[in-house]
Amino acid sequence: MKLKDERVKSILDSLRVVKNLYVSTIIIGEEYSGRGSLVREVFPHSVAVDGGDIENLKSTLAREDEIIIKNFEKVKEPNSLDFEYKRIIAIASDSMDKRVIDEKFAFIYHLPPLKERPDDIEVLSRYFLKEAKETLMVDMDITIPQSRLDISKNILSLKASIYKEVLLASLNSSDIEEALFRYFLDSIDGNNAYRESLGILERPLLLAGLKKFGSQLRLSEVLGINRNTLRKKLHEYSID
Amino acid sequence: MNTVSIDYQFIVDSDSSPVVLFNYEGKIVWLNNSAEILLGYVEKRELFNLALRYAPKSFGTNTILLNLNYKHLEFYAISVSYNSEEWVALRLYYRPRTTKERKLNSKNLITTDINLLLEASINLFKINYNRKLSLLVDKDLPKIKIDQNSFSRLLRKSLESFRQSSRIDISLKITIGEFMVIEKRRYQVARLKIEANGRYTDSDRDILYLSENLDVMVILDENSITLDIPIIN
Repeated sequence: MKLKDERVKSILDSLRVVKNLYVSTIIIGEEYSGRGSLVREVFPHSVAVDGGDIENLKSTLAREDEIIIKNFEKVKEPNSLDFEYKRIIAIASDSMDKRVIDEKFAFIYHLPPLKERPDDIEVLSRYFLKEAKETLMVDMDITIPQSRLDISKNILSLKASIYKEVLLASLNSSDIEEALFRYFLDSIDGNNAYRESLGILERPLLLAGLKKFGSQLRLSEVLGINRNTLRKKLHEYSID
Repeated sequence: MNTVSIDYQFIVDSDSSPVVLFNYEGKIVWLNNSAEILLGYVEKRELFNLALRYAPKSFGTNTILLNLNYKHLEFYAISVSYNSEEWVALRLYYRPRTTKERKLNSKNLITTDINLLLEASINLFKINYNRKLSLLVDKDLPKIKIDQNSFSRLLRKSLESFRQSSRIDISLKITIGEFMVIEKRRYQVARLKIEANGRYTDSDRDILYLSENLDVMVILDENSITLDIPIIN
């Protein structure tokens, strides 16, 4: 998978240039924005250590020449770390102390969050859609509107939202029935379960009907129910 | 001894004091090696004006004490001489330096292609700088022993000083005839010059500190940063 954002490409190019030099590099950005993947593309075999595990980090630094430090913001007393004669590639969140970064690192890259990389959203969406269809054995054309892609947690939520969309698009009536059966089996209780559970069927039915047919008049005809009954139901479910 | 056969010009040529000979229009008709270096730091017109201003009233020589600074070159006196209306000579006297003896900071020295470090640093800088940047490098520059990490930090901070400049010109080349003496050994000099139409000075302290530790001589100007890097190999 080749990301298209120019800033990402520049970071990759720059990492490739420094990959044989003994310099300290840090990539700063939001969680799941792809920092780790960028680093792994250029340094696929390097030892990786978590910044929160200071003992392991110090012993690895004493042993290895080339180290990836994940979650560098978790390192307590980063100034005590000795980077001399080392190739350090650190990954950190935006919350890192700027002075520490400035003193410890020669190359400082800021990876923008996915929401600022529309070209990458497109590439990643295509990739995850193909992957989800293969994984879930779905063999049908699926188009996911941009509005249904969740990028609030960058690549993590994007991938989850695409898998969910593929799964929803592939359900047939027996899958839905199976899903409802399991849901009811788990949730039915109390003394008003019939009315409460009916909403799970009726509410999406009315919402979809209104979206598809536009007017209550047409919908009442399609559903084969009285217009007053439909209006009452819409009111009951707070659908305008 | 018959002194007629002695090549006096050779002596002046290799004199450490810059000597420049101008014609009456201010054109340079002759200059020695040291003056060639000086002209890398000052316009010839400025030197000619200096000669006119301090020329003796009639034929002869006028030597006066005068503090002159051209970047890192410091002079304490000049002589202006002429015995014809056709030419005037200017000689500048270097101020003796009482600088501390430079010691080679041998920590973390790794043989390095500094063109590569420069390329990586420019790549990083260009992520947030999208205006014109020209680069002129000497591809035959020999590899240099340097602390790669500290030198990269120095490059980053130097480049960031030009983050708002509308155009940046960068050159990296070996200087001719200039040397740096560290621990009594002479080293050739690679000169990295970054020029623009102004720059920020917020990182100057860091630039000076890093340069000092790297044995790099730095000149911080209003519009440029010059790093003289000893070619230690």
